[in-house]
Amino acid sequence: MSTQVLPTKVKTDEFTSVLGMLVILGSITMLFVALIVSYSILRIQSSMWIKPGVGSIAFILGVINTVILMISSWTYHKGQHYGVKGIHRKVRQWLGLTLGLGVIFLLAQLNLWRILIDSGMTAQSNIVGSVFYMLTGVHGLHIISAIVALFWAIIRSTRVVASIEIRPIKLVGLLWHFLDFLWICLFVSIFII
Amino acid sequence: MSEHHEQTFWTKYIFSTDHKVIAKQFLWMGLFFLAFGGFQALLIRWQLAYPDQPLPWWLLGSLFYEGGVMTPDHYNALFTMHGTIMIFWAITPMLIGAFGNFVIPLQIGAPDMAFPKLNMISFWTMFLASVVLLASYFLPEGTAAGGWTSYPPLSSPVGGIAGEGQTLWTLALTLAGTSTLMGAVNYIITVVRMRAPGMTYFKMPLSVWGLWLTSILNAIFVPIIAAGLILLLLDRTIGTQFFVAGGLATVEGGDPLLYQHVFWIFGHPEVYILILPAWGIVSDLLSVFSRKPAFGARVTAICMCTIVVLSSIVWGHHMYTTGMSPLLGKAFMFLTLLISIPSSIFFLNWLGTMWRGNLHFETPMLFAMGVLWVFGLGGLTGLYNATVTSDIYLHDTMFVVGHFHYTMAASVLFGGLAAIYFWFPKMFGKKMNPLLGKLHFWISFIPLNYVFFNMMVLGYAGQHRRLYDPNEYAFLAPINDLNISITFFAVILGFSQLIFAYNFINSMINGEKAEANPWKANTLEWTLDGPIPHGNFATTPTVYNGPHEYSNPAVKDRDWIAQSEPMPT
Repeated sequence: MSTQVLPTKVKTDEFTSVLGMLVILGSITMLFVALIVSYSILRIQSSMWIKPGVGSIAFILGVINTVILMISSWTYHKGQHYGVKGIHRKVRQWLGLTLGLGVIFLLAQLNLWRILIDSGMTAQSNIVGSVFYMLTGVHGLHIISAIVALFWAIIRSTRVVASIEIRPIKLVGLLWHFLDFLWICLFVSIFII
Repeated sequence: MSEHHEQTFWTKYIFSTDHKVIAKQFLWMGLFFLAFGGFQALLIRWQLAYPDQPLPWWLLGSLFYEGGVMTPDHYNALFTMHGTIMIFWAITPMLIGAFGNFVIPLQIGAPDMAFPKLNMISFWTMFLASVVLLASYFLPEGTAAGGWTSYPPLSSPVGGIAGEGQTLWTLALTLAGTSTLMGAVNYIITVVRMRAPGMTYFKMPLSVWGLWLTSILNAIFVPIIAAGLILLLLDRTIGTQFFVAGGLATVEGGDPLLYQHVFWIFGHPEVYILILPAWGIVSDLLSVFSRKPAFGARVTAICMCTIVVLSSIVWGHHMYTTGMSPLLGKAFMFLTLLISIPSSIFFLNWLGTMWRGNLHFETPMLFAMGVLWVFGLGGLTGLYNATVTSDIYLHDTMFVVGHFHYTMAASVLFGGLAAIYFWFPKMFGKKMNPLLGKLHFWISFIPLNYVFFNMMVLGYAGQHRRLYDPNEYAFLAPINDLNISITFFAVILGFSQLIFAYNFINSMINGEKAEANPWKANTLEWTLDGPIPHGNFATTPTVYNGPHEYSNPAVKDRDWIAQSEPMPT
């Protein structure tokens, strides 16, 4: 077995990595398209559909959670801005804040779940509950993976003192903003429409 | 400046990020499960031929079932796991995992895949999926048993199949899908971004086209089955209502039919995912062994693209008998029949490649020509399934089983075997025994045709699929001897694979050293000698010619010229 190692080691450029992330986001989109279309079909076929949290605090909480996630996209954007400028401290601050907001979003979602379960809407009680917990749950799982990815990106991008490696920040940024936009779509389709 | 990274046993063979090593890992996995699934097929065949007799000693009957007696529940589990394993654990790792990984970077002149670490993770995710799937064999109530399609309510906890086998099946498939998605990202981006200078899309070998288009379909449609599996998994574990018809309380429940839609929106593209690599490989191999350019190569590539698009809008043809409106049925029928047009075009292109060629009947060529035959037949029988009126009768009969085994088992498998025989010298540096290869072909080809053609005869006569005991039906009595002769030939087919296994293993260990380009093929992988090093090409090749430059009159002294060799002036 040859132990010769050739000079060409795969070092893909930033655009290639961004394209790769876009393909992944395309796949995640297809997952949620299937889930949302399934939801739509079940809802259209049902004779009576009671939207979750109608006329209760649950709706307000849902709005607050949406705003938290939107703010986190803004803090991410600030973090990326300082990443481009090469200021380690600011990058860690703003991306760390984003991470914190992501965790708060998750906890707030769990709280929302608790309130709805207490009010009688469970995953087993009826199809509305099944759809609600499924959509928010699958989205939440993706948020968890984005939080892990962001944690990695913060460490990875600020590893070297001399410069900031912007690529991890860019890539996870795409994922983060995507999940935020996705949540807005989910919120509107579950709570509002 | 050269980069030197230390390689330990673990990073070189187990957790390697080299596409060639990962390709071999997928190959071992695929071959193992091919044998596993093939053995299951023999058990199924015994049951269908001799429903009243226990399994014989040479099928290890008493090892699997008490007294060698297969109960109806066992039978359900058997065909379920046979289908699941063959599709997701044999074909996918072999054609897409192994050959996708091995062939793509080499044929486009790249040092490796775009994301080597992701590549490594995709294999080990599949490994984990395998462990989960095989673990279900150790459950007290056995494995999944709702068919590979796993329709609720049979697959749901309410009145469905008992035990957690179905749940583990769902989990295993979700993991397998995740592995596939990782591979898809890699293959798509590698082809788009890492082609060597001069390698335009239409200078790519058709093998790469097939694998690339498969990856695009995978990226789009695997998440859809993931969605269906998530819904099923939630129904099974936390008691959601997605597929429970008419739920509790005042608000209605779910819809079992929804599962079928979600499943087949993935399921139909899936069958094209499985066959596209084989189509591409056969297109290339016919050219190599006819010493002629692939006839209409550009058109073949475009036809494959057309089929990719059409495949996403025909899923309803799996559901004609679910009570859909005739208008909807007609729409799906029309679109499905449309697919026969591009398929026929590239089929004719295959014939055109061979026409008046300088044919060399090496083992890979025999298998490639075998694909021509079985895909031609299998494709034609698709027309009867596509047509609503005939399908109402043929649905869920052995006719469908014959059809998809012709197109999947025969075409894809023969394509895979052609690929193994073809690339073996490049993967392992040794030659396979040609006589054993040809013997393997004929002793597979003839029984295979007997087995699956007669399944279609049985289906036409009305024997249903997934049937535990055909003897139960008096109307099948006149034709039931066919089940016995099919089994006879299936056993021959099964045991002839031992010729291949012996040839493969013996050649790897004791085989004669192969030269760099034993087939005188013109694609880039054949320009590399000896074991291909990490990083593949010492200098990035420049591509001047297309992938099928054979018998070009401008090349005087031989009948081929490499893609990276400038055409003589």
